[in-house]
Amino acid sequence: MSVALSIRQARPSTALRSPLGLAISSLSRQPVAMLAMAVVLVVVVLAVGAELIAPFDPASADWSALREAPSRAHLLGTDDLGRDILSRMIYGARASLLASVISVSIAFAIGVPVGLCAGYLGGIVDGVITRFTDAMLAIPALIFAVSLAAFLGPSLINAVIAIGVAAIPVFIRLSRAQAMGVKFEEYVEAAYVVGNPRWRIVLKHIFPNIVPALIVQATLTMAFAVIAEASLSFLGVGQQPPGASWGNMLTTAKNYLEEAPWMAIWPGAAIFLTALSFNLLGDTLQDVLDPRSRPRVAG
Amino acid sequence: MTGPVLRAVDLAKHYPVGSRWFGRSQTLLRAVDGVSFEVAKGETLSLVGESGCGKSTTGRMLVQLIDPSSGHVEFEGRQYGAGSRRKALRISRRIQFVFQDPYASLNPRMTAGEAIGEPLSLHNMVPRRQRWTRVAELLEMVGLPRSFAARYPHELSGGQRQRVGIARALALEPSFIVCDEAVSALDVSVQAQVLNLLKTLKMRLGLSLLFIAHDLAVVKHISDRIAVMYLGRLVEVAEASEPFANPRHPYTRALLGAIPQPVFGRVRAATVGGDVPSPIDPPSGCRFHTRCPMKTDICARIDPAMETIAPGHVVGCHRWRDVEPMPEAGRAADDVHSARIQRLLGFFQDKAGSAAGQQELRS
Repeated sequence: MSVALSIRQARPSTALRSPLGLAISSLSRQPVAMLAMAVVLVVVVLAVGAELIAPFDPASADWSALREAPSRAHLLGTDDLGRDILSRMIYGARASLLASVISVSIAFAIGVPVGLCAGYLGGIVDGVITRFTDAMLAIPALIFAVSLAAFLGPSLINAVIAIGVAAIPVFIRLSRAQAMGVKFEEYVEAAYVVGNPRWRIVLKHIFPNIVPALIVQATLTMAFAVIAEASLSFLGVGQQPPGASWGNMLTTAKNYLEEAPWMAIWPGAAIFLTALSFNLLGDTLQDVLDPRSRPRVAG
Repeated sequence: MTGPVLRAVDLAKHYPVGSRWFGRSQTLLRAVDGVSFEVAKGETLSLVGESGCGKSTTGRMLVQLIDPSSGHVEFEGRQYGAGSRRKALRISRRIQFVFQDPYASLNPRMTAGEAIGEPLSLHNMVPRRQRWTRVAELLEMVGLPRSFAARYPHELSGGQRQRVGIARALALEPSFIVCDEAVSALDVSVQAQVLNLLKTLKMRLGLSLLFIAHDLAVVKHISDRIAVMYLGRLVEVAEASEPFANPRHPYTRALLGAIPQPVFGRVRAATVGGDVPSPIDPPSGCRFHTRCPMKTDICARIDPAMETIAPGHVVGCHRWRDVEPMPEAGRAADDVHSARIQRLLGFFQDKAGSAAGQQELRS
């Protein structure tokens, strides 16, 4: 009943609003999506304002307070070097978010133009790009990212590059498929007839019309990037100590699972919640922005 | 009328079909198979035929949306044809296209003003500062208020969108416009308005039109000449009144017979049975012989040449002499059918230009 109601309310406005406005208004009616949005916002605020929010220096050891349970002084406890876990979590959020934003940007910036070219031009260009993408997709993205990061050398920047490169094929695939769908639309043909050069057809007539699908993919890839960054840091090829990352916090925590479980619980929960939130957000955006996947009401 | 502004010479489009195994596939789908016609300045030629007969493909080849497999187009002294699309983009801005589906032919992310202004800037039609004035002029020319420049396609009705599509085509000051089923997606009343608009614009700007359609009532109203197409070939070309009164090809007759007619007490049976044969393997001889009620032995063997049987009347049929003229009753009934559209046209005739737009706006 509530679904039917909300859709009835949404319908009249759909015609008049921009996709973004539509997305926001539609998100505001879905409690789960709102919650996911809230989690993402909290992570963003923590990452941006880490210096102001963190109560302690995330790297300063306190030998008198090793592996202390959560207390008033250290809200989330301390780790094996007596560092404040809350502060490290906050700085870890920065590493995590930085990694995901930059790697998704890399994947987007390379994958989308390449995919658009493949989809619009077709022929040999498409053949070469598709084979290449298929070859890359044959390797699991996470394993690809780990090996690339190991090859580039352990550092957060290299991990970010590796994750970004590993996520490229997905964007190529998606934008190619979308471009192929849009290029036979009459408005693209019309753009050709009035004399648009090809690059302008792609930029002005195809790209803006596939943005919704790309936004959804970017959000879903953010979730992948959060997990990938944590995994790489866990394995020691990402964020290097003493720099804080949810992944490398888990690395040390695994040695003290029985004496100090809080060392593992907080970063683990943060990774889980953040990745889940990005995924939920992506799913909801997909429902909102792509009418084909919108659940139908009443048969 | 002076010489032809556009001449299509033996245009053909063949698509390879089937599996490709080491190189080119051997099977070809002959969408258009050798079509030639001329359009004079200020003339409207209508291209009619069943769906799948290649009329849209022909129209698209004229504006280089499709590269012909063979043949060429001569337009205002320039010539383009097989292979030229790859060599040069858009040879001419002087030939434009109005699309069938007004809901698909406008970019949903561009306002009407941007859609109309884009060709202006691409071809430097007017100085930058005058661009919006020109967009407003064009909007008014197609009977829309200038405030519509700021609207997105989803804020417009079908008829309004089609007017924007026409304004976009007019922006480049073409001498020739191809209208591909330009009104078939619209309501009958809106059809009449858009047809009137096209007629008025044609007269005012001295345009030539190729009007692709399947609705004969619409065609009759707008055309100077009619070309009937069947399975990738032209079968009859004649002055607009001729095919209706004096069809000389059995297929033309069948098309006219297919118009639903309000004859009391009975439903007229279809004059031709069966489906259009596959263009992958077209029939031998005359392409229509598989469905033709008048076929003889020769039809299956020899492909009839286009014969001029009267000034301006060309037919491709071995037995054109034996085709009976349309029965009087049938013609009268046909007029009853088109009476509705005629009445609507009459109603909108005096409301020219912006008045018509206002009418649509209010409804």
